[in-house]
Amino acid sequence: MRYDDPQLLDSLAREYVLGLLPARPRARFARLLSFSLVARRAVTAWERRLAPLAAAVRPVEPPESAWTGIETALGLARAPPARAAGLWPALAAALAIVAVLFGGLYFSQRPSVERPAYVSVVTDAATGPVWLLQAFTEARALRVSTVNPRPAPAGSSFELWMLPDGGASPVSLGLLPEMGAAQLDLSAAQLGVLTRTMTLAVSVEPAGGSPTGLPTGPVILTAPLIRS
Amino acid sequence: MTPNDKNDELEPLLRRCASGDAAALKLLYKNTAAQLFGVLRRILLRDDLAQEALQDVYVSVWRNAKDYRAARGSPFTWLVSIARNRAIDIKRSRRREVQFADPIEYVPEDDDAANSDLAALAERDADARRLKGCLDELQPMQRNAVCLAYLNGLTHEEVAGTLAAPLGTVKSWVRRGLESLKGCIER
Repeated sequence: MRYDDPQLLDSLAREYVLGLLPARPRARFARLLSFSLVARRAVTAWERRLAPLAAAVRPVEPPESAWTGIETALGLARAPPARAAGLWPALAAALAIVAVLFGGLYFSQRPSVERPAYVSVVTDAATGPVWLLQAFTEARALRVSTVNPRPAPAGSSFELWMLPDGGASPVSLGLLPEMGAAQLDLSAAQLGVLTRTMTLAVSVEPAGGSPTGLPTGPVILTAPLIRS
Repeated sequence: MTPNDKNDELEPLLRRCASGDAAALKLLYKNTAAQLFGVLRRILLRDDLAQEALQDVYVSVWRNAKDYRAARGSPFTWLVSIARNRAIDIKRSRRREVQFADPIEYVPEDDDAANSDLAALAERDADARRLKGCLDELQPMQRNAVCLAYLNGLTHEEVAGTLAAPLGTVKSWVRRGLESLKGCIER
């Protein structure tokens, strides 16, 4: 299926939003959405146009058990308040020691904390490391930490690309934060490309990302992708 | 008061969710769950499935709050999209559980009710006003087909069955209806 025809893309986007695509094209389009900003934008525009219809639906109070179900699913019901550690530093320190002592036991009873499968440090020769990237294949996430804040030129964004081996077209991983941390979802398709990638690149794109799905602006930095 | 009026309150709550603040999730739920539950029930036609979908929605919101960006629309639009996608996936994959043996009868009053709710919202919400004005410009059958697909999560075939019209005709109602709607909203 050709996705580079804007009219076709828009008609797929509206059928996706309405839920009119059959199962397979729907799944295919959902995968496209995870890496194509153009498709994502077309979908968002349709979601926005039609949302008032949903806002006008009469609200219905869900049963109490719905919230408890969410708390249980997320393990929030018994979690201590997040601020407690800040209020009682001594207690926090004591707990930290206990956590270290019993860390093995503790973690053996919970899902293990995943180690990144790939890492990369995007470094600018002039300013040093800019972004630290860690890819988690089980969590399907790419964690990005900004080491040195990097403001994008006005009206533009930094976009991260995989340059697959063998000269295939770059595949977007999403937009890089100018400061702080961010987490980008990795689709199955992106994870597949990741296994065939040794180099990442950062390009300067119009705000919100490349309108074409391929780099359109200058590539300012590249970095090796390391399997850890 | 719909969640759409509260986007200014919802955005900071999403940011707090992104940083792991469970109290913010509870507030977000209190502010939006009834609206989303209404939307989900209308698509899934069963309270138990709607509740399951509702739980999935907030679990997903908690896990993906970091990915929320204003570029993806207002917080309410983002939440509704997650909810509708979840409901449609459930509806399509578990067709037998969702009671299609006894599909809801299409009664014109339903459509009027949807329209009057939108009319009420349109009095205080500019986006709703624009959408209502544009829906009013559509041919009635185009409008019905678009609303049944969006609000009830019906497929082309189901819309055709509900409106007792040929499939090809329904597909063109939906396509033309949405094209006109887009043109009108962007005018």
